[in-house]
Amino acid sequence: MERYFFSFPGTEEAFKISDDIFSRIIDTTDIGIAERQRLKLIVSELYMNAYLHGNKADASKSIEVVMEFGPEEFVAIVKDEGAGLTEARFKEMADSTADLESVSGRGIRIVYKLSDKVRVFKDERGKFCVKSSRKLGERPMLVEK
Amino acid sequence: MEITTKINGDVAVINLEGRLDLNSSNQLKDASREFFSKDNCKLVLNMDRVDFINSSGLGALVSILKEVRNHKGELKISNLAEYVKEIFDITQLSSIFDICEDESHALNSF
Repeated sequence: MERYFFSFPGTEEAFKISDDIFSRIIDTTDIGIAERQRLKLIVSELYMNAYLHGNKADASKSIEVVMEFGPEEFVAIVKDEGAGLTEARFKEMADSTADLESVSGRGIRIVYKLSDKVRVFKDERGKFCVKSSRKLGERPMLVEK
Repeated sequence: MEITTKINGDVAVINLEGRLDLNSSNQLKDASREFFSKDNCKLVLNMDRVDFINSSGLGALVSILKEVRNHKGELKISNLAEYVKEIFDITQLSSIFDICEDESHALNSF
């Protein structure tokens, strides 16, 4: 298993380069291109959620990211210093399609749809954590009408 | 993100290349504003070379769609990679965008 750990400052500059860092690491794997894009998207959405909604773009707060590439599973854990949400509220946000034409509010839904399992919890230091697990390998495209 | 535009008759075709995310969404909106701010505009966004899109990029597309509608125009999206189309599907945006297989289908569908 390969495991990567990052601690980013909660700055806009770090936010702007974070996706590029995650992409470069994911692109070093031998995972197929479509699957790599999904993994990038999961981490991107979790980081953006932590930056904008968890830390509320507070530069004094940090964001930690763990990416694990196992033989059969990818795991991403993103931790922020925000107040956090209950798992039920998080799931509720993912299920919401109330306003299809809103310009925001799709990130958590994307994470849930692309993950096999999502957990939210506080770690031993009180940081709010979102953990996404996705089994690797050939699988059909998701279609939802 | 690289953005190039061309005019085909009365249709503006905007070719996108690279990542469509929070960093590039304003760039896209700025580049397409001169086209979608005209009444009855006809716009094609060719996403053949978009290799990544996230929720911010989707938000930018929804924002452009609303502007186009406000000006009684039409917007088509074409050449979505399979995994990009998947994101449109899981967010149910496939139901509000007119998605065409390729640019020529998009141009012929106005």
